[in-house]
Amino acid sequence: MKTQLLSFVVLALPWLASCNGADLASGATVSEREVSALAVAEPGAKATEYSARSATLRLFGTQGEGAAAFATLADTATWDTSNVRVGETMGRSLKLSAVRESAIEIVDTTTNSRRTVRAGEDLTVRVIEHEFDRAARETGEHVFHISASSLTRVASRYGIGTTCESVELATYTPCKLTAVAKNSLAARVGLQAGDLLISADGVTVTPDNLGAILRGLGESRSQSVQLTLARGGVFFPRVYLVE
Amino acid sequence: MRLSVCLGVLSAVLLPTLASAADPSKLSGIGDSISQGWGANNFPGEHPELGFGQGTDATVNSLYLRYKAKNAAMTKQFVSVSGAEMVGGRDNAAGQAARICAMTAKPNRVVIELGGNDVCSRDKGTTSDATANLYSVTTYRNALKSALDLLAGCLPTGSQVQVLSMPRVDYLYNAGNAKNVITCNLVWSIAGVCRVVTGESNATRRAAIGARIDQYNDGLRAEVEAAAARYAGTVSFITDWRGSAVSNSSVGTYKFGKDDIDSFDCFHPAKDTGQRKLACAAWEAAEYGTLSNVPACLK
Repeated sequence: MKTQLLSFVVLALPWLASCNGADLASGATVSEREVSALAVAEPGAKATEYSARSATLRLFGTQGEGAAAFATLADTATWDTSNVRVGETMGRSLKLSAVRESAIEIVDTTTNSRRTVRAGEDLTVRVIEHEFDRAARETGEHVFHISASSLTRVASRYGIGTTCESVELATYTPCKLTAVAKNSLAARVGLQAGDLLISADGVTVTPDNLGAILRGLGESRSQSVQLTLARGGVFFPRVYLVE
Repeated sequence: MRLSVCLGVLSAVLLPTLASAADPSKLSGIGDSISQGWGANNFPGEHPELGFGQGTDATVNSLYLRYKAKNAAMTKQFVSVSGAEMVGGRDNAAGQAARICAMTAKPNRVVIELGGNDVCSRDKGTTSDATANLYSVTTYRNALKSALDLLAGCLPTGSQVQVLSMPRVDYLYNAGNAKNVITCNLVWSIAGVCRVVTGESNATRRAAIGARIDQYNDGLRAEVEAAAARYAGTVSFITDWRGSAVSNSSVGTYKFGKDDIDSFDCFHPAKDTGQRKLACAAWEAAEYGTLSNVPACLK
């Protein structure tokens, strides 16, 4: 009975705290103690490189079984929606620990608190992000806002992270990305393996100039860069606005 | 004669003031590349003027043009985005609904056309289950519900939201193969067009994906009906979906033919055929149309 009561108190603490006005999701700064408990820390990064924000996540649902199971979560402020598998994180501190039929369990590794969310329900959380996580933010309609200085540091640590090969598609000769390395500059700016890059500000993308074009995003020589690409057969212009 | 003249004058004076807030005055659209008229003239790229909803091309005779024929002052403002999904990403149904809610002048008619990319942008399934990586019906429904709730919360009273059933991408695959089996399969492979279906050689597995789309459309109708009940008296919600039993009874059951699709990527509705048929079906399924006329639109 004592154990059950203790378990209840431990599990209910985050909820009780939020009811008490001590909003768990608030607080932009991140402490060194929290950094030491992150699920995925950026190697060697100081606490000042992180920031925290409040977010309300809605679980649209779950699908798949076993290792292939994943959850679909939307941030209700922007409706940005992602698919997350068991063991993957949202930001640096929220880890998806279990996917069940129409429910998931999330662990905040900085507080060791576990929360269960059912499909269709909302959950308010504190998301801790590193500077690199915000280096390129998609705001919809094929527009990304990028921090040139952060992207330069991403490129310095993780590299461009992709190569491409020219292919022929009707009258076009786009450059098809062969692979995109996790955490790389290419990944941060939203590129995926298989994307066909056609041009950047009117210049045809080739295997030889791909690196320079992507690195150029971090050099902020202009206020915006337009990349024309094709994904899933659909050509569209993507605009990177440099901040 | 004198009485009819008097009535005519009276009508001219009163009618503008009698126009209801529910009368169509502005059309908006939530959608993907189909709404953007992608490739509709066989050239790659967006051609919104050829879209079934917002088009201005007389051949397509879009929803907008049909509304405009009823009310010359009708305006339009679409927020559709090529590549958008019902569920995923930053341009999903709820994301686009939020952009409609942010408009200064709100529309009072909205058409939603999404779903193809929810299937086409997923990885291929497992050896035992072709649908293993597809969204669950619950996920699909909750994504739509979030969008419908947002719209209900911001549109003027008397507004109408039409949610079109999603096309069967396996039927588009069949249409492409009927059009030109060599060039269509080549472009699908190089450009990565809906590989979950176009890269699937097993017809039974493709049919399983088609069956999941039918389930999405069943869920879509259930959410539309639930929203209609939840917001009765404020915003109405309608859909063309009447089940999968009868072919060509809705957009979701339409078996696209080789002439319905473009000749660039073999996967998007062409303006003279596919887009025109979608416009006709959407119109007949809405307030001024007759649902039983939808099959005639899709012939």
